[in-house]
Amino acid sequence: MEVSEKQIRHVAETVRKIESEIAKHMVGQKELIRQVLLCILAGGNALLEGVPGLGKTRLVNTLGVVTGLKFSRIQFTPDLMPADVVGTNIITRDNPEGGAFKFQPGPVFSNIVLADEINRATPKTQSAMLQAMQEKTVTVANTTYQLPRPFFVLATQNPIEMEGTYPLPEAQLDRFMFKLEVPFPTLEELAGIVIMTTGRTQEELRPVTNSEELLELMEIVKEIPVARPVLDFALKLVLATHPESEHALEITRKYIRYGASPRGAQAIISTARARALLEGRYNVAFEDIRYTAYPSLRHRIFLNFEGLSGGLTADNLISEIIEELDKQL
Amino acid sequence: MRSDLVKSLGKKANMGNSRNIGSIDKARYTGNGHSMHNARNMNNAHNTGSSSNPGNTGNPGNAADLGMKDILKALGPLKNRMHINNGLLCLFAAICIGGAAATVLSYLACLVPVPYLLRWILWIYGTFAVLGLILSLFLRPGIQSLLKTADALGLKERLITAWELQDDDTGVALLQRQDAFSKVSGTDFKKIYPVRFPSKFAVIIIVFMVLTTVSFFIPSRARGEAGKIEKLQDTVSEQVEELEKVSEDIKNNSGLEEDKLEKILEEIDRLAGEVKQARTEEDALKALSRAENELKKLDMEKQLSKLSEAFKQFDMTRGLGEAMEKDDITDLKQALEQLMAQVEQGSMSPGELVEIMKQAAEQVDNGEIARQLEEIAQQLGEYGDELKAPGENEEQADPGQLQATENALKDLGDLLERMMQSGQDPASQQVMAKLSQAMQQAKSKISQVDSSLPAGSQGSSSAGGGQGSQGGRYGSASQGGKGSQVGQGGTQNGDEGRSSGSGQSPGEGKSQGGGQSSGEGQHSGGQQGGDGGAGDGSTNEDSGYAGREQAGGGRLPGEGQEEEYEQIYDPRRLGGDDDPGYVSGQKHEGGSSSYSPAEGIPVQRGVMRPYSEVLPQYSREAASYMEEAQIPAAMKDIVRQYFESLQ
Repeated sequence: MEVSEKQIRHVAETVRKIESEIAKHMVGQKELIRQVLLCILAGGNALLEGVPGLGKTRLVNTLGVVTGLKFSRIQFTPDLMPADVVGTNIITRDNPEGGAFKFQPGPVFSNIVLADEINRATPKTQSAMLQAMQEKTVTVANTTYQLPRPFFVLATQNPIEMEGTYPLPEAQLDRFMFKLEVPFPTLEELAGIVIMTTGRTQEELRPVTNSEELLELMEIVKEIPVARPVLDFALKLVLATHPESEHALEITRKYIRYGASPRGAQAIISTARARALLEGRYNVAFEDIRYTAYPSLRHRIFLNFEGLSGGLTADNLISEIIEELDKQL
Repeated sequence: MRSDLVKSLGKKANMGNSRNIGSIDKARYTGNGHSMHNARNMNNAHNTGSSSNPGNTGNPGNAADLGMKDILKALGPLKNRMHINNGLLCLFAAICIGGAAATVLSYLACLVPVPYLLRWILWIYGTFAVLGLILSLFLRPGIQSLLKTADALGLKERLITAWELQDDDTGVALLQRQDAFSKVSGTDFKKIYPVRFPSKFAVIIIVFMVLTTVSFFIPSRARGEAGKIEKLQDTVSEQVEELEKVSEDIKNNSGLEEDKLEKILEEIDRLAGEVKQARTEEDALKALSRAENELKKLDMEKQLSKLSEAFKQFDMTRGLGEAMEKDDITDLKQALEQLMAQVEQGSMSPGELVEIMKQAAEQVDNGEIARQLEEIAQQLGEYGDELKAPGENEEQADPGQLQATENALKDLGDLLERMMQSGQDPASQQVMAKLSQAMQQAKSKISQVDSSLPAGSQGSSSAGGGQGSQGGRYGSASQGGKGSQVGQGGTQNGDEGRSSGSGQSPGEGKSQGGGQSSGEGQHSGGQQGGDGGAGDGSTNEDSGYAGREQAGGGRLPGEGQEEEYEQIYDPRRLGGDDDPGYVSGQKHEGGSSSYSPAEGIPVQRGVMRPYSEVLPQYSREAASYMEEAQIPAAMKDIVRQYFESLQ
């Protein structure tokens, strides 16, 4: 695909418009919004983790409106069944000759799916999302249905309320391109939130893009070149999370049980391309890798008991690894 | 490739992919940002065949024309600065290594003598600095390094990417290159990449220098010894230069025959080389002594003197010897005629003459003269078998025999006449005088270098042998024998004529070597007091290795340091009060054996004595014995050389 400077500028412009429009309904959280958009431009799914009330659901709702995409929300509960997500075949009597099964698409048949509190559903139901998230298809009764393009799953989960929840399995987590931690707003931001949400008037959102344009933007992002040293940096970063790898650091061997999968490297590079573009560059830089490494890898690194008991987090280890790799540059 | 891109773009446009096709907005870098131009500009550029390599301008044309060369050119200032920084780093690192080496050397010099330490240290610093400088010339940064550095300076991998995409003419690649060029052109590398002085290395170098300087203040015996060696080598060099000057002077002004001159000069060169190679004072003095001896062999007057002495030893040829001593050719002829008359009268046989000639040949050092004397002896000896002792045969000698004798004596006369003429040759005398003076001066200077050398190395020469005076242009040093022996040194004042100078060196007792000498010598009475030992030479003519100390100056108590020498077995002190010795044997029952202590039998165990004590004594005894006994001169030389080699 040949791209022009105009197209590339258009990407940055569109993203700026989206961010600007979202800002009408979201106070602060600019970094979070930027990361969600990076994830969308890279065609990935995002898992938003944060305590209740930080605007996770609101962000996804707003995003659905602003992008002009078909949006659906699934509130995950323990009694939610897979069919409630992907849809099911129902008997219809439309045919005069007799009844027939007709597939009734579930809420997953949408461009943006908000999987709210995804960890409250049972693993069985959570697993219903696997195929949709990775292959953008669902299979019901031996029939595979293509999901609309673009397709993103933006899930939320509450990290502190563990009772009655089912932690996401590794396979499920790996299908999220980014895991984003929603920070608590600052005083200023909190004031803005309160004023915005308790007042009478609220600005009306308008879509600033559409699915076709968004797909085009995603294709343009893929054109951004990555130099070999930069690519190597990302790959070494991922390999360094594996305790058994030759690139593993001492800290990795000591505190990590499982490292990131190749999807982690894919996530880093894909989102780094998008970030480079949004930063006004036509190439991926090391700093893009450093930036996207945290949301790309933090849910793909599993600490061992020593790491957990030592109070370490995946972000701590990623920082250490990046610091070490920087020395080798 | 660019035309392919244009074709590709056009093809895609025709296919209706209007959003992407041909839409590489031909941005032109203006230095202030990007200005967009329509596609026509690019197409025109291609159609007119404009170069794809703008090369010599920092403001390339179309984006499609922008190549990696333009980017690299824009990186020129950074490259230069990197080179300077690399060079400085290399230079200082090299000096740092040199400093480390110099520091190690300076401390090593506290343990082992290192002559010319300061010179060495400066040489090391200088060498490493030059090496560093040369190496730094080759440390111009490579492209990869340049790009990496520039990227690290805030260009955010634009350059590495551009380098990888340099052969890629897709839209993104062109935009990327343009972006990279734009950023590079807008970057002031002087600000963000200053020339850095390698202060860490500088500090290390200063530390090394301080350490090196400190080492000079550490008291060390080795350093003192190194100083002596330096002084010696300086003096040796000076003296060799002096010799060379003399040699040059002789070459230009001697008036000698060409053959002789060439021979002398060759000899001087060879000897100067030997002296140069001397590493110790002893070596230098030995080399000089050897040189002097070698030159003496070329001195015809000396040879004449030796020959005269040899002839004077025999009654029959005493007249001949005296004529030679007088240096009178008329007397010489008369002496030869008398000799012939004696042969004719039968009062002397040619056989006796043969023996005299053979002994005379042994006395002279000059090989050519010795050979001629041997030939004369051979000529005389042709009738040797028929020769009879005087008195045994009353009959007249055979005419053939007489003729042969006459011829031989005639040859002898010619030889002696030539020698006398050559000896009287003022040019030759002048040359030899110059050389001798230069040698003496060199020896004197070198021997003055280290007056505090250990006694062990001086002992042999600090014996009481006095050194004769040297005066004028031609002085032959002489050396007395042991004890209070009068040394006679033939001296010559002025250009002509001979005069004799006499030196007296009583050599009384240890370190009491007072001396007197008359004559007009530069070295007025170079006698050496010592502990009563003999000097190196045993005759007045031998100016051997002596004169290690100033005139009359024995080693004073407390002066210099006594060096430790190995203890050697000395069987000299035999008898005495020690345990008696026993003859070893085995007792058998079958036979009879008896033993009894034998008092006075010199089979006592020896004692260990210092080398320095033994050598002068042995040397003195050898010299004494050689004086008393009839020993051929050549053998004396061998003995003397042996003792010289031991010193």
